[in-house]
Amino acid sequence: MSGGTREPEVDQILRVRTGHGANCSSIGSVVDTLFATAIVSAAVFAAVLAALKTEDVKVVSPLARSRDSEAKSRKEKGA
Amino acid sequence: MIVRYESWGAWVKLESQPAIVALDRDGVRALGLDGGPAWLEGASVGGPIEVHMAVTARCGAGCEGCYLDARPDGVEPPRETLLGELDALRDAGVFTVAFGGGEPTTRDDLDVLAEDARARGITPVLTTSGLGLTDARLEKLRGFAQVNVSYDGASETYASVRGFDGAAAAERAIERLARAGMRVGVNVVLTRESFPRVHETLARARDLGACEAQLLRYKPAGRAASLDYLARRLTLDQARSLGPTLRELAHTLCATGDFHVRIDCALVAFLSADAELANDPARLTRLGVFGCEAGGALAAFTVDGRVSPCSFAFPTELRATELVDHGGDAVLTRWRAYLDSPAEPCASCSLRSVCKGGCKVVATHVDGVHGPDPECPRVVAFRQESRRESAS
Repeated sequence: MSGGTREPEVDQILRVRTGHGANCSSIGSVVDTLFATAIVSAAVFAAVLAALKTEDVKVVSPLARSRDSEAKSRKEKGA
Repeated sequence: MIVRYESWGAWVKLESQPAIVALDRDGVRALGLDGGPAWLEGASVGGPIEVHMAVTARCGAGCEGCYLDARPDGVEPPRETLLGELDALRDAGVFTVAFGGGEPTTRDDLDVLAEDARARGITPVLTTSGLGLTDARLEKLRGFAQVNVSYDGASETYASVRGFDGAAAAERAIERLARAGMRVGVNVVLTRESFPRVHETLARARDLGACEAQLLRYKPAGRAASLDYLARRLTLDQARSLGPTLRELAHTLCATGDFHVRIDCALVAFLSADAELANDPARLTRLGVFGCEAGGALAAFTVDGRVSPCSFAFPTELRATELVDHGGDAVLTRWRAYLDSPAEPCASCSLRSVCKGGCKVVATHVDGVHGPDPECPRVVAFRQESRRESAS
């Protein structure tokens, strides 16, 4: 899916985790934005909204994979 | 962007900028999508969005506090094994894989593994000590979205954390990676000796070209799971001062927006001592702060192919290649369930939903139970008060 009319709103964003975070032992969170001005925070969310409206969409479905896995397991057990 | 449905909406990994976004169901519908089975009552729990993968147990650095107890003759799984694990990450819808160990740059196939991860839609990142980073090894890191170098401070400070002075090698690695055009960050372990110098450590890293610093709590795992841990961990006053310290670092080092400070999941508990942050958990949530996500948004793969709640926790029986079945694993379920009915003072803490009880690895090591983080300032105060009440 790409393009189309997409109008997500800022209130529909529950959280934004910025950056990659390359630590291999603990999950990390950017915190300097906690102390930034409201303008900086708003800019972060505005950039995210812009990307949500324009980027091509690919859906991944671990739930389906999990069901496949369960079915395979049942088959192997002869159920 | 890559969308992964969750019971509450969806996780979305953006491609045009390094960000992962949680959207509610209305937000997902606004994209023209529908969660379908994931939004039905009783759907499976969401899996990790980030996995830390030990790609080797080999390392010659000999850091005193190595959480993996890596050694020069440590095992190194073949690429085929890791490919199976990357397949499992793809099947589980994981967004990011962080390669570690051991020293991952000792592998000859790192560049190929980075390509393997990207071919599966997963963003690869990596942590290195920077020791022995030859030009050839450096070139193999270009496929990674970010490389973090372990750097706890200038020589004496570095040595106080790791038992040897590898600061110069780490500094050279940061500088060379940045000059080569790679996105480089630093991992800074906070002990009671390194904490007072955190400002100068981060300033030095930024000057060398790092774009980010991740502050890490010292944790009692691997070689650090000893009595020595108690002498190295942050003091209570240092834990209490984390909030003001972060505020100062943000204002002095991050104002231009080209350098960022991260804290690890285990440090979030210490923010309970900062009234401004503790009273606004919604802001922390909105800006993506994660506390203990072990077994939830985070999982780790051990070097022998098991799933752990996090890199510091004991592995489960679940094979890494079966990650998609994480929802049925009893151990991972227990880790996730802590938030449902935590003991006091977590139960009444304003940060409960963000912090999720602090570091359970520390709690298990210090208290012997999977409970509140005993080094959290709020927990310390609660226990002191309880003792006073019992005595009176």
